[in-house]
Amino acid sequence: MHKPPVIFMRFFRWFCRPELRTYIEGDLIELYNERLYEKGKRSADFCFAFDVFLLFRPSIIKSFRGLQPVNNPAMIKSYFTIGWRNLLRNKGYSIINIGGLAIGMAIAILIGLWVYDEVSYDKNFDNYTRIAQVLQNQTFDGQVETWGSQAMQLGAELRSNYSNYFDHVVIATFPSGHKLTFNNKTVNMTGSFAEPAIAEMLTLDMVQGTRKSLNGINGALLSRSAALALFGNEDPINKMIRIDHDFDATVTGIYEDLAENSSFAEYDVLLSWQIIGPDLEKRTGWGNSWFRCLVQLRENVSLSVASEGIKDAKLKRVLVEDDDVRFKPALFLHPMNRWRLYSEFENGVYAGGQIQYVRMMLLIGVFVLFLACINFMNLSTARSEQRAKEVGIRKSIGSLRMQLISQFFSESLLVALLAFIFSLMIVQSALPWFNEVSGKNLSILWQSLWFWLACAGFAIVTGLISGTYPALFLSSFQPVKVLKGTFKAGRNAFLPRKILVVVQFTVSVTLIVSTVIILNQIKFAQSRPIGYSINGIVSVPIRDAVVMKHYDVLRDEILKTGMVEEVAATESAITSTYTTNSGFDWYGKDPNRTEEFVTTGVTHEFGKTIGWKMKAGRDFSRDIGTDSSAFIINEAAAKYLGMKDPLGETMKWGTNGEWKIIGVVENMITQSPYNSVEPMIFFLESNRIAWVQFNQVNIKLSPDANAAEALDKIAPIFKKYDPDNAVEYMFADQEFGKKFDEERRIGNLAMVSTVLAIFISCLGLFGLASFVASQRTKEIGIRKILGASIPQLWQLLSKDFVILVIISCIVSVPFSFYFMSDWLTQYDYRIDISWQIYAVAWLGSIVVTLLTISFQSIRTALRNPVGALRSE
Amino acid sequence: MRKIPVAKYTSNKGFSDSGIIINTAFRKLLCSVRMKKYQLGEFEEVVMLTVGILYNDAYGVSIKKEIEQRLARKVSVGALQSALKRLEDKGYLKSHEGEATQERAGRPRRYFVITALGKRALEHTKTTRENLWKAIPEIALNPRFTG
Repeated sequence: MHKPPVIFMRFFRWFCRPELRTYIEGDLIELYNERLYEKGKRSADFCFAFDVFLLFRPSIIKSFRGLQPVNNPAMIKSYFTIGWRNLLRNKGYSIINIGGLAIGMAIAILIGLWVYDEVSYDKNFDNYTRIAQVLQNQTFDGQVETWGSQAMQLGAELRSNYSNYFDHVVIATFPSGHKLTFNNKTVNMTGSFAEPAIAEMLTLDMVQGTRKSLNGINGALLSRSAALALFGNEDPINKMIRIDHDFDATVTGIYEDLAENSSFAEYDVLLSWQIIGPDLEKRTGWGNSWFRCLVQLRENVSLSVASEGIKDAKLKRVLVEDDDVRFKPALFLHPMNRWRLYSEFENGVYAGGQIQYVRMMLLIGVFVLFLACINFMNLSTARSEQRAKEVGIRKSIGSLRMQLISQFFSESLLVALLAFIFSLMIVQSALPWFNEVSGKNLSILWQSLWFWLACAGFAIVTGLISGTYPALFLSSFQPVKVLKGTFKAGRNAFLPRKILVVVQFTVSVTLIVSTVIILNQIKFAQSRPIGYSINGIVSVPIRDAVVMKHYDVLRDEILKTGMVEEVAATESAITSTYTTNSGFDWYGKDPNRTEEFVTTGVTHEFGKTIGWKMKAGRDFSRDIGTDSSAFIINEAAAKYLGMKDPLGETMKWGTNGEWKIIGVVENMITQSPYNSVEPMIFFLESNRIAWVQFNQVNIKLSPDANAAEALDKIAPIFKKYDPDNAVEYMFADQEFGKKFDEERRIGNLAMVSTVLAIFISCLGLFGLASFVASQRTKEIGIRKILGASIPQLWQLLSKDFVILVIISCIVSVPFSFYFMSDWLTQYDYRIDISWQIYAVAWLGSIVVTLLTISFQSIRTALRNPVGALRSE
Repeated sequence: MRKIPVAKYTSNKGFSDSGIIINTAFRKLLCSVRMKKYQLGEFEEVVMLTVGILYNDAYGVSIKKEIEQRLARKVSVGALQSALKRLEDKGYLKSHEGEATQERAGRPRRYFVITALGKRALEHTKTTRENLWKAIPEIALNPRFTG
């Protein structure tokens, strides 16, 4: 006789109500046999399965009553009551538990807020999914560089030949400070010249005027706050304002300030492209990538298609018009929702960016919270013997295991809830500090339903995670053993707890090592010899080109104050020389090389001002007229040129003629202190390269001069030649210091999370130690009577924990080594990970552990044995 | 098993008494809204009548076959069993265990018979139908077109 398919039979037996099971089963088998006889096995099997499937309906499926015993509110209430009483009875444990968990949760919430802010960046524009910036990959010397800037001709090109992809194409200048003047009142506002479609693209919320009003020849849109600053209560519409003392513009519209967490947050003024466009068109070509090109995709065009489609848009044009072909420009689109988090490119492909910090922060948050959960697990299971009797009695009067599990879950939920309330308080009080460290303006989203839902979910999940192990462990006791009094958690019961402690300390030690390495790396870079002197150098940015026309007189006057050693003007700021040029040729140059040099125009006294060190040759001199066609190069450039003795050699610079190398200076750190020094060329201001724009006047103050006094004397001199602009100062050492901000921020972050991780881990260890000590009171009493000394007892009680910490130290080595080597590779100039770093971290963690547990173990060891042994 | 609206219990003390009071009241309210004395769906009616036809031989497979044969419609085991369970819960049918046979692999049959309440329910359904039939005006069923 054949049997119906087993899985369906089993499935049916599993779901069917027990009181109906045999009868329906009988019916099914009877039908099956009949069909088997009539239609064959296959058909019968199929019909059987179909019948079973149709039987799967509410009236046939058994009730969940047996599986879900706790829908009884009185019982749940009693669980919480018991849990609450337990918390009150063991105040010490409760404080450690709740405190640890609250700190962990507070960190997690803070990090959550931070991540939310990062992720929600640029999401506040209606069409943000369709907006993108056009970037270009160009190949220099085999290296692909990704530029965010484009030639202005690209705008017209995309509009006319690629219009099937785009709704809007906008060419704009990069945002910069603009002086807006109205009725003798001047305010400084950041903004851009942009083609009119930008208003539509950003869906500006217009307060006055329309988005179209940027179309005019000299229109200007102001943000509400900019309008308020400039006009006060006056009606700004159709008022004429002066921009940077160069152009006139008419205010044609006011828009609501843009959201703070967007890439356009600082845009306070948008100026019509017509103001500068026609003039620029005459002066620039495809080789001048000076502008930003933004596009908005058509509704049904996918980004990848458009990105692929415009790839050769520039190449096709430069083939006919320019010589930039050799850089092989390839265009692509960078969508707005990736601007913030994925902004770095390496060799033309995405190389992360801010997202790395987001990931790192998330990792830290999860770890810290996880450590706090481990504390909870350890302390609950450690106290299991105290609660074993309760479990035994509950079981013998009829509790199911499920009920006990839910009881312990409800206790852990209670703790999680309390911890959550405390964590909110901690977050609220730590936010100002956190905002300062992270450079953000975060606040608890009291009003957001989503925030509360997320928090509630988060508290529950934390409660469940930390409650799972204790609930399963505690509910597994056998009532007979427990109540007979022979219950002793065996060796195996300690193993999971030990593993958890090892995990905790592995994380902590890894964090300690990372922090030490980060701090060392920062210190290492800070103490890197920079090759010149930045102390006492003040830079005054040149806001009006007129200053350079009077440069010599200005310099004389500044020198006459007597508080200044030397003055020199430069093209770039000393601490950020990012102007580069190519088109150089020299004897012996590899023709395939697409070279690029950092080029800096200077005045004669530049070397003296910053105190550079000549390696060979001589400095620029006012007495030698031919110096106007001379280069001074740095060592890196000398090496790059590949000449044995570069002095006296000539270099050709595109259409700018021939230049003679008269000197080689030592390498100077003028860019990132972590990278190797780029090849640099210094040349004098002269008629040969009239297009070079001098942007800084650098002043070396006398060492004995008071900076404030000196500046008071210098400011009027600048005011005399540039009466319209306020005089601004930058101290070179401060500017240089800013280069470490990013790393310092990571260092701070790592330090804070390390301290917290150690604190939380030690909190747990403290709880465990005190528990173990209280358990072994009698043993220690007997040992004392038999003559054990206090150091022996201390050793006895501490040994176990110290061994665990040493294991963690060893386990943490591969993790920390892997992560930190990876982190360090981003720096050319970096430290090696040495054994000393590990030694320091290990020693530190062992000392901290000993301090934590010694408090308990020494207290126990000192106790009078009479008290310990009399207790029964 | 009675299903109790959970929301009633979230906050009160002495929940059990008031809970049941609310619950019975709720049921009464539902009944009065339906204004139905005997609930009998179309398929349920067919099943009951078939149980009647088969008299002492009404169990799962035989009922299924009888309906399939007489009404020329397919009946799934699931639909039939859940209808039988509903009818038994309502008290219109009662069941007793029968013999176990070879072709059922030793599983007993479960025979159904109509109870007195079930009989009244069937009669009620029948009379309501008849009353409805009678109430239909002649013209509605045999429309005649004049002119």
